[in-house]
Amino acid sequence: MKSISYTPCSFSYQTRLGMKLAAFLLITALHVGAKGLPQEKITLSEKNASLPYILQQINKQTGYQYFFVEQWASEANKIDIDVSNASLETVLKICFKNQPFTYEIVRRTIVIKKKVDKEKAILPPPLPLYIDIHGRAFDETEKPIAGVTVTVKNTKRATSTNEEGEFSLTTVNADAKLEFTGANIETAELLVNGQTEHTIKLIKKVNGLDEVQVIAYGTTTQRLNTGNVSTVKASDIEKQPVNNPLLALQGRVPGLDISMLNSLPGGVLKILIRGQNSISHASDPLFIIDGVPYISQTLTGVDGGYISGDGRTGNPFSFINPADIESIDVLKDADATAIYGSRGANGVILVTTKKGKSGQTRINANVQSGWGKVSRMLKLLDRRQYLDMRYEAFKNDHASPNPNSDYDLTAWDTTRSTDWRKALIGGTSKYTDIQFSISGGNSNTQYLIASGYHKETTVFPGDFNDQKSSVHVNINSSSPDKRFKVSFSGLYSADNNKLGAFNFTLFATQLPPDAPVLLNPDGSLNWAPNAFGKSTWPNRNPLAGVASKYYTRTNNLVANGNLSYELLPRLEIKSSFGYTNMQTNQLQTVPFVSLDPSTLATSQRSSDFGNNNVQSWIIEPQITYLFDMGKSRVNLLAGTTISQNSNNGQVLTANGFSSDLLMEDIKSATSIIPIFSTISSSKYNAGFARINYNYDDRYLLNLTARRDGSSRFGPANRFHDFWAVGAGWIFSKEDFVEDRFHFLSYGKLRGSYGSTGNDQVGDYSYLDLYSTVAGIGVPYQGANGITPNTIFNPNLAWEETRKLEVGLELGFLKDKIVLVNSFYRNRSSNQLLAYALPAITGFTSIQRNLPALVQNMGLEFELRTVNINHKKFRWTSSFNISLNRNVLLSVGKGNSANLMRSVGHPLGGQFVYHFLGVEPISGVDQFSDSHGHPTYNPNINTDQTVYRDLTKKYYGGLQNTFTYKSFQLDVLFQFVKQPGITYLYSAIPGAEGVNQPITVLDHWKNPGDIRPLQRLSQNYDLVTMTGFAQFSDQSYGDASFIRLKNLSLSCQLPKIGKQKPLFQNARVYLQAQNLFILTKYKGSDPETQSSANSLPPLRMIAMGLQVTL
Amino acid sequence: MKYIINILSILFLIIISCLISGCKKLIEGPPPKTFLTSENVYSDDATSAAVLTGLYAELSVSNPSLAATPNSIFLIAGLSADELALYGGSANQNKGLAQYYLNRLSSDLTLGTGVSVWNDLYAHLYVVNLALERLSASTNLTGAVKKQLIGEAKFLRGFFYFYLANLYGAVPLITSSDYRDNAFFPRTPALQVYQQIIADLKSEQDLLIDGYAGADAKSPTIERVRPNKWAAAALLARAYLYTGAYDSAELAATTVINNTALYDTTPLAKVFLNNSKEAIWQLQPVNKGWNTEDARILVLPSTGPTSNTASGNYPVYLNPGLISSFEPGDQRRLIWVDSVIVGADTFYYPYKYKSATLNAPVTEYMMVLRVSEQYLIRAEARVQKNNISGAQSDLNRIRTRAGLKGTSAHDRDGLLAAILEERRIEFFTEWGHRWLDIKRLGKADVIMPTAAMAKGTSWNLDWQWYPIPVYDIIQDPNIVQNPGY
Repeated sequence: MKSISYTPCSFSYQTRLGMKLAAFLLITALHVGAKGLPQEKITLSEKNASLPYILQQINKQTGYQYFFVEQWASEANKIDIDVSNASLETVLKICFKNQPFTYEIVRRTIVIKKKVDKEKAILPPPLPLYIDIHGRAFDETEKPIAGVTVTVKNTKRATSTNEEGEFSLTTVNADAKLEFTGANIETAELLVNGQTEHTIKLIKKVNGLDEVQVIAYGTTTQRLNTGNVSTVKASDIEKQPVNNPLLALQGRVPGLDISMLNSLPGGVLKILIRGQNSISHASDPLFIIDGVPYISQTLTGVDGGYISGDGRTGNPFSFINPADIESIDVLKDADATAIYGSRGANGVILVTTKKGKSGQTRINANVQSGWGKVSRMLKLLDRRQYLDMRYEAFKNDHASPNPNSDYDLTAWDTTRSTDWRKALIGGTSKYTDIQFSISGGNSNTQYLIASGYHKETTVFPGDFNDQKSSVHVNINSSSPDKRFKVSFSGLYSADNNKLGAFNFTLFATQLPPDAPVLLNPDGSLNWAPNAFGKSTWPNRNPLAGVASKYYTRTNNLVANGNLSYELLPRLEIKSSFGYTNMQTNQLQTVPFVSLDPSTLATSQRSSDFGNNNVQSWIIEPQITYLFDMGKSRVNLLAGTTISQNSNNGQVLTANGFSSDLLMEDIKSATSIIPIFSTISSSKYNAGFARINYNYDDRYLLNLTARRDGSSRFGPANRFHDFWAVGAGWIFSKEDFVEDRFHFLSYGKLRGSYGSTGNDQVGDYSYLDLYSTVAGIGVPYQGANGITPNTIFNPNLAWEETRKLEVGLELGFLKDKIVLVNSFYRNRSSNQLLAYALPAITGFTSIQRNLPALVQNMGLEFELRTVNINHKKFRWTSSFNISLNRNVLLSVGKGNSANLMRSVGHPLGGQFVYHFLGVEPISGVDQFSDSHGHPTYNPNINTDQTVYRDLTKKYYGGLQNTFTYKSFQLDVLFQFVKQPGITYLYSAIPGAEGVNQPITVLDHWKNPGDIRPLQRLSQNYDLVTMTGFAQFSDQSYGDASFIRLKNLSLSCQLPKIGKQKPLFQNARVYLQAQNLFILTKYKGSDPETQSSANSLPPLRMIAMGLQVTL
Repeated sequence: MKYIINILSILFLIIISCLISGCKKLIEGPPPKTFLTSENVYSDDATSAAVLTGLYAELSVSNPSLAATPNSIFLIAGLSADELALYGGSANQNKGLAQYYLNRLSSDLTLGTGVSVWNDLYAHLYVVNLALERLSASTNLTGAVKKQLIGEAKFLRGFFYFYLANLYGAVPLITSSDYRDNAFFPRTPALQVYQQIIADLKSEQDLLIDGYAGADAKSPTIERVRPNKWAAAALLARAYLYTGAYDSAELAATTVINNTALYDTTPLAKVFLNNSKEAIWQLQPVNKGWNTEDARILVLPSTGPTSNTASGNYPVYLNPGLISSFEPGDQRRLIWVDSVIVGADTFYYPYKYKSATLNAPVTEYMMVLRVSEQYLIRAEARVQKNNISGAQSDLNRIRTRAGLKGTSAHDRDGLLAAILEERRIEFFTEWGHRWLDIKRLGKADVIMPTAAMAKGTSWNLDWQWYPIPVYDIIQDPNIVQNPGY
C-alpha cells in the first residue's frame, strides 16, 4: 500500500538530473587554451602525466586550443607518452586511448567530450527500490526474542523487536542488508532481497539479561529495568509436577516466600513478598493474570476437606493450569509496583499466559503420570512404648485404668499393633496430567487452543481425588498495516476436589497403636462396641470419614481482551477489558453410616451446603507514546482503571434427611439453617501515568504516579496519590569502564523510592453497619431485630508502604556470570488497627488508622552462571538467597498494650513463658515469672516475657542445569533458615488414648532425673502446666531445612524420517518433587509445621512424554 | 473499525477527566446487602422499629445468659445481697460469680472472666443514643411510629441508667453516639443521672401509646413485650421513690394502679405467665424450645446445683436466710419456691418461672415491671408522707394475695421495715430489688455484715458499689475508680 511506484520515481530522477545540468553551466569554469602558432609536429616524453598537462603541451607546441571541463580532470587516466615529431592525430589517439573521453577537432580547437555508452544513453540508470518490510525474530526453540535491534546496514535507520519478536521498517532499500544485534543474541545479518516478510532464527547468548520481563502495563528487559522484577519462565514451571503453579516458584525467586501449609490438592499457601507489611490485615501480593486482577484468597466455605490453614480455605491458583502459563513476573520495589497504587504494597505477581504463534499449525501433546508418597513421617511410639507410657502415667498418679473410658488398656486387644501412619496416610497418590494444544496463524492472526486434564488421588484410604479440566484460548489479530490490533485470551477450568471429611493425618498421628481393626470381616465399619453398645473409638472410626462425603467444585473463568490502535506512528491508544468469575459449590455430609450406631437414636443426618461466587470486571484504557530525540528515547504512558468486584456466598446446614442416599438433595431435608452469608462488592477507579526515559541505553529514569479511589474507604479518604521514582545507570557503557575493566561486560546501578498502599481491609469496614441480631431462635414479636455492629469511621484510609531500593547488577565475561544484588527497606505506616475505646462508648475498639510503623529491610542476591558451554555439554547454575528482617519500629498512642510491648520485635510472633526445665524432685515443668523466679503457675498477664519470633532468617534456592547432547538434567535445592513450632508431644503425654511422638520417651521418671519433658500423667492434674509449656519457649525450635525440591531429567528423541519427519520435536522426561530433606526439625515437616494436623508434602515422581507435530 | 476507534476515543475522554478530577461516581459502591447502614435503617418504619426489637431480643437472651459470664443483673445483685447462695462458694468454677457472692470484686473482673454488666449496658446505650439521634433527624418515618420509637428509646435509656446508677454509683452520663467525645467522658454525679432518667421518662409518657404495640411499633397487640406509657409511669414512680420525691412517686404509681382495665394483681401462680394482668412490661423468650432463661438456670434438677458448667449450669440456689424469712403460711413460699434434696442437703430454688424443659410450650415471659411493685412504691411513698392507713392498705393488698393477714405495723418506722421485708419476699430474684433496696435505704451496713458472715466472708461499705472495669479506667483517663478498689 505504501510502496512507491516506479514511474513517479523515475520522473523525479530526471528532474534532478536537469537541475544538475543547470548548476553545471553556472558553476563550471571553462579552461580554453590559446597560445602560439599552430605547428603540426609534436614531441613529448612524459610518464604518468595528467590529461590537462598533455593538452597544455599540445597547445604549446601546435597552437591548437582545447575545451575541457576542469571537474573532469579527476576522472581522466594518467598518460604515458614518448613521441617525437608525431602528428597531432597520433598524439591524441595515444592520449585518449584509455580515457573515458573522446575528442573532436573543430576549427583548431580540440573539444573533449565524455564518452557516451549507447545503452546507458537510452535507459535511465538503475533505480533503488524502496519497500516496507515486516519480520519476526525467534530463537532456536522458536520462541520470539524481544529487544533485538534491527539496523539497516550502512544507514542510521533502526528499530527493535517487540515482545512477539516482531519488527517493521518502512521504505527500506530492497537490496539492503539488515543487521540484528542484541546483548543476548549472536549478531546476525539478513538480505532484504526484495521480500517484505522475513523470519530469522537467532542464536541466543547464554544469560537472560535481555529476555523480556513483563512489567506493569508493558514490557522491558532486566538490562533496562530501573525496578526490581524477577521472572520465572514456562520452561521452569513445566519441570515440576505441581498442582498449583505458585508452588513452582518456591526457591526460585529472591524475596518471594511461599510456604505450603498443607499438601492436600487445593491446599492453602502462605505467600509473602519481602515480609509482612500489615499488622492486622492480609499482606497478600496483588495477583494479575494477563492484566486482570485475580483473587488472592478463596472465600470462607465448608471446610471439611482440611485444606485450610492460616484462616483461609484454599488457594485460588489451584484453579489455574500451570501448563497455560508463559511466565510469572514478581514485582517487588516501588518502581515496579507504585503504578498499582493502593494494591501494590505487598508486591505484585504478574502471570502471562501462552500466546498463539504464527507459522505452521503446531500440535503439541504432553502426557505424564506420577506417584506420590508422604515425604517425611513423624516418628511415633510403637505399641510397647505406648503401653509403657500409659501404665507409667497411671502408676505416677496411683490410679488404675477406668474401664469406661480407658478403652485402649481395658477393652482393646493390647497385643494387637497397627502402624496408623501406614494405614491412613501411607497410600500412594496417583497423578495423571494430559495437556494438548494447537496453535498457528499468519503474521496478522495467531491462535492457540489448549486443553488440560489433571487428576490426582490422595494418600488416604478411600476414593478421594482432585480432578481438573481446563481450556485456554488465545487469539491475536491485527490489521494488514499493523495499526489496529485485537487480542483475546480466556482461561476456563473446572475442578472437582473430593477429599475425605476427616483429617486422616490427625488420626494417623494420634490413634493408639493397639486400636482395633477398621473393618469387620463383612466389610462394614468396625465400631468396636463396649458392653453397653457404645463405640470405643476415641473419635469415631477413622474410616467413617470415607463414608462421609466432601467435595468442592469450582468453575473458574479468567478472560481478557485488548484493543489497540496506532493513531500516529508510535502513538498508540489501547484498552484492556477483563472479567473473572469463580463459582464454588461445596458439600459435606454426615450420613448415618458414618456415625456410631449406638448414637443413631439421638442423631440426625446432616449436610452442609456451601456456595460462593466471586466476580470482577476491569477496564483499563491507556495511551502510549514513544519518541526518540538523538540518543534519548522517551516512553510515555497514561491510563485509567475502572473495576468492580463482588462476592456472594453462603453456607447452609440441612438436617433430617430420611436416607443416607438423599443427602445431596437439599429439598429432602426437614430443616435448613443458614450458617453464614456474605454479599459484598467494591468499586475501584484510578488514573495512572508513567514517564520512562532512556539515554543511550546508559542513563535510565522512570517516573510513575497513580491516583486511586476505592469504595472500601471512608468518604473523607477515598482518594489517595501514590508515586515512585526509579533510576538506573549502566556504567559498563561508560568509556572509562569499557577501557579499564574488560572483564566487566555489564554493570548497572539502580535505585528507586516511592509509595504504595494496601487495601486488603475487606468491604464496608468504614460504615456503621446494622446486621440481624445473632443467636435469636424465635424472632421477638415475630420480627428480626437488627443491631449496629461497627462505628462509622469516615476517615478510614489505606495503609501505606514506602519502599526504598538500591540494586547493583553485574555481568562478567560476556555475561557468563551475572550477579544481581538488591538492598531494600520497606516501611509501612498508617496501619489499620483496632483502636481501643472505653466501653462507655458502646464499643471496646474501632478500626482506625493508627501510627504504627513496620519495617521490612533486607538483602537479595542472585547469581547466574554459565559454567561450561560446549557444543555438546552445557552446565548452568542459578543461586539466590534472600534475607529479610521484619520489625515493628514504633507504635503511637491509642494502640493496644500488647502491640506497644511488641515494639522492636518482628510481626507474627508472640510473647510466651520462659521454660526453666523440669524440676528434678517433683518432675514438673517450671517457668520463670516476671521477676525471674521459678514458678509452676505463671500468670498469663505478667509472666509471658519471652518474645518468640517465627520469621524466616533467610531462604533461597540453587538450581543446576546440565545439558548433554539431547539430555537435560535440572536439579533445584531449596533452603530455609527459620525458627518454628516443634511437635514434642500432644496435649498430656500419658493421658487419654492419644499416641505421642517418640520425643516423649525422654521424660522425667524418678526424683533426681534431669529430663526435657515432665512426668507422665493420665490425669488433668498436670494439664495446666502442660498448657503453659505449649505457650512457652519449650515448644519452639529450629525448623530450618534443605530440600531437594525438584529434579527433572529429559531426553530429546531423535527425529524419525529425515524427509518427512513424524514429529517436529519429541522428548521423554522424568520429574521428581520433594525427593529428600535435610532438617533437625522435631515434627513431621518443617514447612507445614502444624504436625498433627496437616499432611506433610508428598514426594512425587512423574514420567512423561511430550510430542510436537 | 471506525466504531472501535470511536469507543477507544470515548474511553480516552474518560481517562482525561479521571486524571483531572477523580471520578467520585465510579467508586460509589453499591450498599452492602447483608448489612444495613444507619442511613437506610432510619429511613424506614420497619427497620427503625427493628433496632429496638433487636435490643429487646438481646435483653431477653443475654440478660441471664450463662452464669459463667456475670452479666445478668438478677444473678449478680442477688449474689451480692442476701438473696442467692453460690454452690460451693469460692470453690465454684464460676469464678466471676464467686467474686460477687463473696463481695470481693476486682476491677479487672472484665479482663479475667468476661463481659460485665457495665459493658453490656453501655453497648445498649450506644444503640439507644444513636437511635434517638437518627430518629429525631429522620424525616421519612410515619409520625406515630417515630413518636413511639423515640418514646421506647428514651424509656430504655432511663432503664439502663437506672441500673448503672444503682450498681456503680456515679456513672458517665452519655447521651450521644460520637465515640470521639464519649471516650473521654468523666463520671456524672448520681443525682444528675437521676435527673436525666426522670426527664427521659417524663417526656416519653406523652410519646408512648396507651396500649401495647407490635413489632411495627404501631399496631396494637395483647403482647406486653414493648414498653408503653404505663411502663414509663411505673419506672418513673420507682425513680421518684429512689430520689425521695414521694409526692411524684405516689402520683405516678397511682396512674398505673388506677388503670385497672389493663393491670391488676393476679393469683400467685399466674403472675409470671405471659401477658398476665400483673405485667406492665415483659420480655419474650427468644431461645428456640425454651421458656425463660431464668428458669433454665434457677430451676434445679434432681442432682442439685453444680459447681462447674461441665455438669450442667446450675450454680445458685436460694439463700437459707431468705427461706427462713418467709412468714408462716406465706403462699409464696409454697408457690414461688421449690426444693431438691441431694443427700443430706436440701436446696431451695426460685420457682416463680416453672417451665424449664426443652420444647415445652411457651407459657411464661420474663417479668421486668409488674403492678405489685407499684403498690409497694405507693405504700412507701405514703408512709413517708405519713399516710399510714393508705400505706397499710397498699401493703396489705400484696400480703393478702400471699395468703397472709394484714400487717401489724402501724407507725412510720415499723411500716418502712415491713415494706422492705415485703419487697424482699415479693421480688426475690427479680432484677436485684433486694440489693438496690438495702443500699438506697442505707441498710447495707446493717444487713450485710451478718449476711456476709453467713456467706463466709466479711463486709465493707465500699463494696456496695461495683468497681468500674479497669479497662475503662485505662482507656478513659477522666474516669476515677470507686473507693475500695
